[in-house]
Amino acid sequence: MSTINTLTPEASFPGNQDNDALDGGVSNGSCFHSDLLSFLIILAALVSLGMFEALYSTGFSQQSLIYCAALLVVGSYGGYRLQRTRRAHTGFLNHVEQATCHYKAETERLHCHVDSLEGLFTQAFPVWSRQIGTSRKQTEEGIVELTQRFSAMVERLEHVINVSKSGTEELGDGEGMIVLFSNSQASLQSVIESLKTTLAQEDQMLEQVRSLAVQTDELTRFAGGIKQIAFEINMLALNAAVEAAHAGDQGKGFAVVASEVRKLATLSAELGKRIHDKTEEIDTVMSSTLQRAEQSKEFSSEAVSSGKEIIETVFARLHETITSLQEDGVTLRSSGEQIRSEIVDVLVAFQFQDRASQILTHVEDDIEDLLARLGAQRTETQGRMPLDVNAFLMGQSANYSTEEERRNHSNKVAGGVPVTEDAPITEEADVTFF
Amino acid sequence: MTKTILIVDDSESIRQVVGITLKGAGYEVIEACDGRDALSKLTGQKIHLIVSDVNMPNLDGIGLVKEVKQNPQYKFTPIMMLTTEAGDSMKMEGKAAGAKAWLVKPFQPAALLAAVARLA
Repeated sequence: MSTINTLTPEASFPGNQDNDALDGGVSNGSCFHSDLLSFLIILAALVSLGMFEALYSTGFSQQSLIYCAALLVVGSYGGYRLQRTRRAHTGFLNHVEQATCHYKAETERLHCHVDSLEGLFTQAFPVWSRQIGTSRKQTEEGIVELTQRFSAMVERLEHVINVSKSGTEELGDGEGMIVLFSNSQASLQSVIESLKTTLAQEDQMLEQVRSLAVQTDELTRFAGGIKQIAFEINMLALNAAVEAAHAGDQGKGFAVVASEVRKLATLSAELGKRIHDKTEEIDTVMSSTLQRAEQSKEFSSEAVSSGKEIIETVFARLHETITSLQEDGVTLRSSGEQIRSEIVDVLVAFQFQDRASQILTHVEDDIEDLLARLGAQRTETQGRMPLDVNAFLMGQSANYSTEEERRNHSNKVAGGVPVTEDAPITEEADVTFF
Repeated sequence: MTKTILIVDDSESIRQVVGITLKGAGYEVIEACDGRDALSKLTGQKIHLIVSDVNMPNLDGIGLVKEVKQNPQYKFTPIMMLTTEAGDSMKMEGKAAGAKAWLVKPFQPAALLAAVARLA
């Protein structure tokens, strides 16, 4: 396009230099005057020849001879100039013919050049457009895939953070965790205290069992006393029977009473023996029970003491473990949130693709527009009218949607330095509310 | 109550970025790839805010705002334009159509969330 715009008649007609070479006083205007002068001189020579012929036939005079000679000289000079002018004219015509041929050849060459450029544009532009489209599409697809993956990572991280948070909260976050432990420890301590109370009650029961053993000793003594009384009653009844026998018939009734008293004494002695035996048996069982109860109490006391120690140890370990877990959870959550924030920053940075895609789309559209304009120029004006560059550029700028495009366009159109990397795109953080 | 926001943009990466930002703040998100698609998503459910691009195929952002304002059910739904266009004339066009706010891309998530919190 620029080639066409810079073409001038001077540059496109190299034959002008050959015109300058014709500088021998021969140009279109001077040639005409020279021909007229030559014609007049020849006419004068012919007239002088006629006059000379007339004088010759009528007689010579000196003055007439001089006029004739002068006219003859002038006529000869005119003939010489005529000959020279013809040669110059022929040379000029040759030059003009050569220049015309050269001009035609150059014009044809330029037409060929323009045609080849147009052919190049119409064939290369669609290729470039497709290449740009492919690049834009590939970039877009790549960025979209990256964005999707990063988005999925952010969602997974959020899930992990939420699970970690809820897990910690269930266990009791911060003070809650300590309160939970204190409450659990107090509950178990109350269990231990209950066990101790039970042990104390067991002690009391053992004391009562011990006092019961003393009571059984007394029962044994009572049983011995019954046996002794029964023996003495028996002896007394025996004496009464002896005395009844000494009394004869008068003592027969008394002998019967004495016999019955002896029977009762024997029964009392047997009862006393049975009470004694049973009391000893109870005492034996009670001693054994008491011994077992004491063993059980001792075992229970040891178990309570040991259980208390074990519970305290387990609680200490649990507290340590959960505190460590809690710290790890906080660290993990903090790291997860930091990573999530960084990924979100990366996603935000991916917004460049939207701008780049819009710019490339506009370039594709511009190429299509340029091709359409070239096609229209060829079909509607047969290439006689130049392409309306300003209309094309205005059409370009009307489609822009980013500040970078407008800056690039204005610099290029103004012939200034193209926008470089040192002109960063500012991030518009403010929102306009209507 | 979770608020629902309709994101309209022909760039999938932008939809992802806006979506992840809004979901992270607790909003529910519906996506549409252009104005025509957005209109098809307005099917009776409550939409608290529409965040729309301007330059899109089929139906652009300004056209979408005009269409939404014609819809009796959604004419009071606030619309925020999220676009690379930063020119005042375009902003005025958006305002005249019925948009409530104009945020220029690339945006910062905090700026987007502040604007959404104010409008939704």
